[in-house]
Parts: sequence; structure tokens; C-alpha cells
Amino acid sequence: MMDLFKIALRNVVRNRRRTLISMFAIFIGIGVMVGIRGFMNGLQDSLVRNVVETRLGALQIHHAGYVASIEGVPLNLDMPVDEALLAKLRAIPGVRGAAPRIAFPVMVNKNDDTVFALGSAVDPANEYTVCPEEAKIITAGTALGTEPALVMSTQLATAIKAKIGDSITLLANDHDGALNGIELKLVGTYVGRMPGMEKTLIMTLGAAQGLLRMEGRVTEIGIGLKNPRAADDLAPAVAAIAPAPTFEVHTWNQLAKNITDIMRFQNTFLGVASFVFLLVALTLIINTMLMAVLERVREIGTMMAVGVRRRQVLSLFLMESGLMGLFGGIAGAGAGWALVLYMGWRGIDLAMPGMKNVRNMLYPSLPLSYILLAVGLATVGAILAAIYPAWHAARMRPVEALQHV
Amino acid sequence: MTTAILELKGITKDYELGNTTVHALRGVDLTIQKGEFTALMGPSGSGKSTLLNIIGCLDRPTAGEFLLEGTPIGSKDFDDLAEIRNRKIGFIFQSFNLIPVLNVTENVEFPCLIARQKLPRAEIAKRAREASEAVGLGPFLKHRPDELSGGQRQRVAIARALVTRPDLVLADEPTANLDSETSEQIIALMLELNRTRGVTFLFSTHDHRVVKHARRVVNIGDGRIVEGSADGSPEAPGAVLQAVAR
Repeated sequence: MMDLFKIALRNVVRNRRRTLISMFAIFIGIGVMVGIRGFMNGLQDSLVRNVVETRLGALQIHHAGYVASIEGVPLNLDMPVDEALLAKLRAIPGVRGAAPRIAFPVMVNKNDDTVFALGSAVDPANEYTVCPEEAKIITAGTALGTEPALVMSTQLATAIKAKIGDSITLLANDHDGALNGIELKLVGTYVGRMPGMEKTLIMTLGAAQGLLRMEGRVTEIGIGLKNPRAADDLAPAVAAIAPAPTFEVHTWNQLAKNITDIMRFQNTFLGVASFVFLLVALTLIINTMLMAVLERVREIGTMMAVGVRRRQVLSLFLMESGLMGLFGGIAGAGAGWALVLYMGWRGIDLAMPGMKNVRNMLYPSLPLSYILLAVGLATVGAILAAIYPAWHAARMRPVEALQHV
Repeated sequence: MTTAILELKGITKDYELGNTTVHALRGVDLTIQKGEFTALMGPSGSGKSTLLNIIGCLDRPTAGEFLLEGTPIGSKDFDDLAEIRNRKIGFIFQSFNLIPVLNVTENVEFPCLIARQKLPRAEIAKRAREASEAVGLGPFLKHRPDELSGGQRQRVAIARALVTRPDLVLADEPTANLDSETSEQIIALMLELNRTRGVTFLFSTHDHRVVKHARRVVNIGDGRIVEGSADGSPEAPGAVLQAVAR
């Protein structure tokens, strides 16, 4: 087999121009596939970062039944702020932080302007360990600190004609259903990075607990992970500390289904696009191998005459094609990977117009396993593409092949 | 005592060309003994190559019996025939038919390298070296075929045919693409191998200068053996010379 491999290798470099054209097609196909996958990984990481590290946290703990009735933002499905439980959660390897929160519907008023919004009450010191990006989305003023205060989306501020430093009135139904109010200073405004954040405000937890008559209680514990994509793996450890039937634990991809749907669509689209690119490249391989077979009919006849068996002829041409796929794949994957590494190091700034002070960086990335997969795909694909030409060669009758002109 | 290396009994070969049946061989009986140096003579289209292809297990007869060293060949499948070609038969072609991506040594080694029952690497190298030296290729072992002259290429083909130490070497017009001086050298080489190593040669040719070296001449015409004995018994030299002269 090694001897046939050596011959296959020499045959690959025999017609250099044709081999290079075929390998170039694979180079482009695999290079584009790897490059797009790297860009897509960066995009999805950015998406996940924006969702997980700006708002949700990688995991959330609620009172059992809360997520099923999340549309109503129920305050009665609450839980005590248990420092011992929070400490245990923070001690799980891979957990970066755990922060208590309350989500509640609220009316926001300034002078004659009132709008409805979704409020989120947080303990800033802990919250920023769970969602470090939350402080970075502030476009005017400052993030929340230790003093009772609120920040809101720029759209909300515009709707009630509020400026930084203004006193804002918040009206909300408390834990018992009674309407209650509070005045808080607006210290900052932000531009959300995910849909729906334009109708939100964030306030300090203590002030919200007073407004909602929920002293010492919250509706949610957000958990930040060092690697947000490990949420599924760490969910059981979190559930062991906050067990059913009292609590329920959800991962970010369960809570933000629209994001996972978008990512699934992107992956499917990329898969189809990669397949088409590869198919075009492999069509060229079929053509190249057919030409190689037709050019070497007498040679095939000679090899058969001296005792080469059909299986060996088949193997020879499959090896030649596989080698072209391997070399083209290595070159394409290498070039694509180099581009991804460079762009990943440099970063791509996706800040939208008007958000120049909000850096939304995309860092393309690729695991080595994907590079190996791409090279393997090119090699196996090239071998599959050569099945017909190789079969055609192996089925030749030696006497006819030897007489071929 | 002589031993038959091959026996053909009533071999026919028909080809279908459209609606026409071409009878390439019409009942050939032929026996070749071990150690013979036999020329197969005949005009173009007489059936020489067809007969050599059948003897070389490259093609199957339409009818008749073919025994190689007493073993019937008719029932063998493709891979069995490939193994017979590899182990028992050496081929020398008119157009040399070397593998262009291999150098002289590798071309000579090739039949041993692809054999089902492979010899140890050192033994293959030894045989290739011996075969190459026997045909005078010593200085050209690392040359590729396109770096050799026609005569040198045919020497490589002869070395390749000998490397498996076959019982029979078939040569289809081995000197047709060579000048007269080189043709003489190649035939002299084949004769020497026949004489010193006892290799059985059966070769087709048009070339009268080559035929004069043959110890036996089988003349074929219109798909039949027309002159020369079918069993290798001594022939009237005149008949052979007449055949040669024609």
C-alpha cells in the first residue's frame, strides 16, 4: 500500500497545473468555509455575550413555576435573599458571580409624561460580576453605584423628556398588589444590545425592595459563568444547590430562545453554504480525476498486465484524489484559520451609528477541532468525488487499455 | 526431457464489430516447451497480438482450452489472472510501457511491490539490481523513463519482465520502435537470458532480421498457424526460412 501511496503522490505532482487548479478550488471552498465559520463563531459569541453578559446571566434561579408565568412578571413567586445559598453558588468552579434581582412592571413618570416599562432591580456590586457588560452599555451619565438611583434606556428617557440628574417617579404594584411610588435620580442612560431593552430601566435593589414591599426578598438570582457556553454543563451543579421543588434553574439558551433560534438558523445556513462551496470544488475534482484516468489508460493497462489488481487501481486513484483534497484542505483551512486568528486578535468593531462610545467588538474564533474537521471533510469529499473515475479505471479490461491510443 | 509451459488446444477468438463477427483466431493449437526461444510471425491482422494477449492472460478465448504449466486458465477470475500475470508471466511491449513517475529501479521493482505475496524488501531490491545489471542498466538506475533512449527503455521493460523470475516472457513486437542496431542488441540480450537463465521467450515480430535469431518460428495467418510445428518438434529449416523470407 505504501508503494501505491508513493506512486499516487508522484501522480499528484505529475500534472502540476491541473492539480493546482483542483487544489485551488478546494483551497477556496475550505478557506471560505473556515473563514465564515470563524466569523460566525465571533458573531455568535458576541450575541451570547450581549445577551448573557449584558442582561440575563448564564443561568437564572427562580421560585418554582416562575418562568411558566413570566409574562405576568409575578412578584408573589419570590424567594428570600439567602447569603449562604449565594456563597455556595459562587463557590462552584466556573462560576464568576451570583446576584439577586427583582423583575417588575413599572410606570415611569416625569411631569406630565408617563410610560410603562419593565424594571429590573439589581445589587450593582454583585450584578456586575454576573453581567460585566451591563455597566458598559451606559452611553450617558454613569452606571449604578451604591446610592439609590436608576438608569434607563435612551428611548425611555426621550419618551418622558428626562435628562441625567432628573428626579423620576416610579409607580408599581407592590408584592400585595397595592400601588406604591418612589422618586429616584436618573444617573445614566443606555442603548440596549438586544431587542426589547428600549423599554427597560434598571434601579438599585434596595430602593426596589422598598417600592415593592419586598424587603429581604427577590424574584431571581442571576449567575455569571467564566464561559457562558458552559451553562448546560454547570446547570446540574447549580440545581443541586437550589433544588426542586422549591427552585427552578434555567440556562440562558432556555430563556432566550429567539437567540438560540437565530444561531441555529445561522448554523444551518452556514452548513448549506459550505456544502455548496465544497460541492463546486469537488465537481472540479471529479473532472480532474476523469481526465487523469482517460490520459493514463495505457498506463492502467500496463499496471494490470504486470499484476495490479482492480482494488489496487481503485485505491491508487482514490489516494490521488484524497491527497489533492488533503493538500487543498490544509492550505484552505490554514489560510482561513490564519485570517480568523488575525481578525480574532485585532477584533472587528460592530458599533452601530450613534453608538460610537459603545464598543461592540466581534472576535472571530475557531477551535482546532473545526480545522481538523474541515481538512477531513476536504479529504473524504475528494475521495468520494473520485469514486466514479477510480471505478471506471478499475473496471478497464487490460487488453483494451493496452491498445488504447 | 522437455516440459510444456503452455498448451493451446483449439483456441478461437471472435470479436463483434457492429453486426459483423471477426474471427481473430480460428482454432489454434500450440505447445511451447520450457526454455524455448520462439518467434511468432505473421502479417498485421493475422492474430499474433490476439494470441499473445490470450497466452498472457490479458484476454480470454471464445473457445478452446488453454493450459499454463498444466493448469487450465479458463475458469480463473480477474484477480487470479492478475496474480498469474504477476508471478508467471513477464511482458515486454512494443512501446515499452514504463510507468513515467517511477525511476528505473522503481519500474523494475514494481511487479514485486504490487504482488499479493510480497517478498521482503531487501529481496526485491536485490532482484531488481540483478535484473537491471543483467540488461546493462547499472548507470541509469535513478533515471526516469523520459531521460532514457528507446533502447534503454526497452531494457528497463526486459528487466521488469524478469524481476519476478517468471516462467514465460511474452514480447509483442519488442523491436518495432527501435533502430536496427538497438534491435540487434535487444534480441541478443533476450537470447543471452534465454541461454544463460533458461527463460522461455515467445515474441511476435515483423522484423526478418530478428526472426533469424529465433530457434523456432511459428507462422500465423488469418487466425491459424499456417507454418511451423504446433508442438515444437524440429521443423524443416527451409519452411521456416521461406516463412521468414515472405
